[in-house]
Amino acid sequence: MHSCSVPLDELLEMLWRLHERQELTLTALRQADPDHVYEGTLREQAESGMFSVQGDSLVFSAAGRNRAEDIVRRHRLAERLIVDVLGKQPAETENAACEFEHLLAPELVNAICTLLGHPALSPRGMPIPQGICCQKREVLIKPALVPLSLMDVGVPTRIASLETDNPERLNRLMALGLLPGTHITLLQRYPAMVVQNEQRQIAFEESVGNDLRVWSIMPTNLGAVTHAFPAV
Amino acid sequence: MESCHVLPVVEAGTGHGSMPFRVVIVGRPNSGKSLIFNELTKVYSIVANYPQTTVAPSSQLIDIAGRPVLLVDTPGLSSLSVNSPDERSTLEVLISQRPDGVLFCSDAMHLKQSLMLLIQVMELGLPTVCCLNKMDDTASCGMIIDTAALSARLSIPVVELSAAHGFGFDALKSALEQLMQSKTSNRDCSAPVTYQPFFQEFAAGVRSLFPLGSRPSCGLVLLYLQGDQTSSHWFAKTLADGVLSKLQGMVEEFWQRYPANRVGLLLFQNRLSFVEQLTGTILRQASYVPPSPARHAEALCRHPVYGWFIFLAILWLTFKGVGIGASDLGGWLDSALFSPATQLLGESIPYPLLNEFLVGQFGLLTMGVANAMVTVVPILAIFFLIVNLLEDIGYLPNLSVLANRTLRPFGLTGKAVLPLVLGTGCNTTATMSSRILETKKERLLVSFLVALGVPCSVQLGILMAILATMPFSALLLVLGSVLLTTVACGLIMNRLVPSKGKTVIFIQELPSFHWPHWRNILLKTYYRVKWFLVEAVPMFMVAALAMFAMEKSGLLSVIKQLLHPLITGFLSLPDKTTEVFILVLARREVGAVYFKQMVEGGEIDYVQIVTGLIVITLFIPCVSNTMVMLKEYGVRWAVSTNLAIIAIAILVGGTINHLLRLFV
Repeated sequence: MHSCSVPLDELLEMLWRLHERQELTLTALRQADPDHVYEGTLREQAESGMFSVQGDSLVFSAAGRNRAEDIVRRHRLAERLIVDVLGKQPAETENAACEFEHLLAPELVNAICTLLGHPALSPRGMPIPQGICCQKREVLIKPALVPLSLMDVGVPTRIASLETDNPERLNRLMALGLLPGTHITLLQRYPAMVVQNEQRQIAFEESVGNDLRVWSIMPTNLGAVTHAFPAV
Repeated sequence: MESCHVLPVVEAGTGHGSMPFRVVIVGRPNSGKSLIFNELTKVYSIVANYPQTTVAPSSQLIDIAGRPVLLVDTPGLSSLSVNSPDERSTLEVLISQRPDGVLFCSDAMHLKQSLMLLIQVMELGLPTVCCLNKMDDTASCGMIIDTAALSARLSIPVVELSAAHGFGFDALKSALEQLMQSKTSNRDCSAPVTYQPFFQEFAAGVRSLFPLGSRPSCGLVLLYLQGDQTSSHWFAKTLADGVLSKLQGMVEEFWQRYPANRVGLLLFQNRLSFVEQLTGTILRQASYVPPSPARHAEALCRHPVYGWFIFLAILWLTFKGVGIGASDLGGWLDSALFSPATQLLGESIPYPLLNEFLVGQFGLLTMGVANAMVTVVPILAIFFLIVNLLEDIGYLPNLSVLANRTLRPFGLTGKAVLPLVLGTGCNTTATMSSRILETKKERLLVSFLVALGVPCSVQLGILMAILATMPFSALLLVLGSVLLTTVACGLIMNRLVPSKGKTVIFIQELPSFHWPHWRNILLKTYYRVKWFLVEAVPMFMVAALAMFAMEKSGLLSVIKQLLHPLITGFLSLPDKTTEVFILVLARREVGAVYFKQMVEGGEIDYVQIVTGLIVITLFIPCVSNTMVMLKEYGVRWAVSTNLAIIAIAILVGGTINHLLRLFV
């Protein structure tokens, strides 16, 4: 697991495994971590608000629990995808799954879960935490990216990409700050589209709405999402 | 009216020594630049709660700490990558005229977007003071801005301001005073954002083409790299041919690695991540703010169904207010003041010619002063009160959302609503404000439609006042045929005027509704009426003089005879209407007022009134509007438009006349 580069997420993943074994204690962590790498991270991240240390036992906060669950869910779904869809052996999955769990956009996780039929166990037989899609028993995969014109009114979303190469259009969108990563909510569609971004309201015609690709599903487990820019 | 206050644009830096310190106010649209300009100069220029109220730079000499300062108000920009002529004029002031300082006006409510522009302006290397306007609104939205930290991070003075409430101007003035003393024109690349090394290398390469003292700022180089026109003019003017072609070679080479249309996006992302990080540290947002009722009002006003009902209700109230309220007020003024006065004067002047000259049919006082005061001022006052109230609340831009689809078949977007609505204030202003539109085609179409189908305020007011006393069918007939004619001509013009491959897109930021600032509304109404009086009363008097002279010299009856077949034959109007049309040529409302008197005198019948009103409404634009059309769009367009409009007006009037006579 040393190939994974985000120490806090790695620690949370480890804590989740201990939690599954109902051994969420310092002693158990030390046993699983002879090099004290995780313990170091545990001390560094004591202020992160994800967990607290109470004597020997470790306790997840609500945010920490959600985040750990989400990471493990992504990791184990990635394993299933690699084994079931790409035909690899379970032993070959570790490095790829490790990378995958970070690359996978949070909005895509539920679509992959639905694609795989809401699997309950990973190829190694570990339980995959359930997502909203599993609880709803969804069978149809919704496209993760849709033109803004297909979004429902009043649903907050985030711009994923701009599907235009016209420099003039790009300029106009940039000047008004309608860019990948911007949070917007569609307020009305007709007779012209109006979106809200922070304290601003911006009106534009439908062709502009078609240029904006937005996430149709917002991540539910993760609070803050880092901004991703398209390759230039 | 404000149309004639075309203020001088600052001349390029000519001369030295006792030259005033030139400060340019720059900011995003609707950030309150004009309000600040008015407050600092104590001169009034029109402000409103919608973007792009100011369409051309205007300047005024003021005094700060005993030194003359030339303050320049500019049209707002969203970024330095400009699209329309009004935005370009701001960029030209910044680049070609190189002011001594910039007063950057940030909208504290839209801090991120303001900072994005501020960074670009700072990169132009001009000494800058930043003010955070609308600080009163941020509090109610639960926003807290650490101004001191912002100032430290950007290394420029930042002043908190609430221009609408007159707060913060003392601090602003002392910041400007310091700016004048600092005297360091900073052309180095000291902008807060660090771009990728290849941008820095390129900028350094371009700058090394210049001698040490006159190197262009980094911002100018970066603008050039994005294919901007204004900066490439600057380079073409400044550099010798050999060096210029070397520069062009460098840019071509750069574009092969990073395409021009992506350069802007890349630079933008650098700025954005800087601003995101900056606002993360200086901006705090309360976790809960109760929803404002203004949001509901905004949503209703642009709702596809309720929005139109609200619009119709506003039109109806305006019609009633101007048509009936103003006539009552005017009638009262007339019976209480002007009639007794003219009667008294008439009786006391023994010489018949002088008597007629002053208080006769075309008398200087009766037709000139009394007409302007009794008929026009009440109409204008009530009309502008309503329009100014709507402007102040922020209602008008919502109309552009409503009307966007409606305007599409005419080759226009919702943005054209603003000049069209402003046209009901004054056609000349409307033609000027068509500059906010991006393509030439849109600007031409709007100027034509305004001249043809949009009556100006006084004309509209008189139209309403006449129609308010007539059967409802007259209102339907007149408005219906004017509207139909305008629609038909608009559709045809869209086919005739070539679009030159540029497609129009509608994107517009909408201002938030706020409670009306009554002081501002009353002030604006006062100034608009005052400008009218200053400009129009002499016109009324000149018109009265000219008519008096034409009548006495017999010229009037010659013209009447010449036009007899057209006026009496085709339009079935009495010969006297020729006088109306001559007056309309000079100024639309003078003729309209005269026509109103004919109606009130019972000189013409129902069909004649309808025909007359249609022709007057559609008729040729007034002299000042024609002048603006000449200036903005050239002789060919102005002349052909005017000829077309005269023909259309007479044709439509005559057709309606003959159709009506079949039934009546």
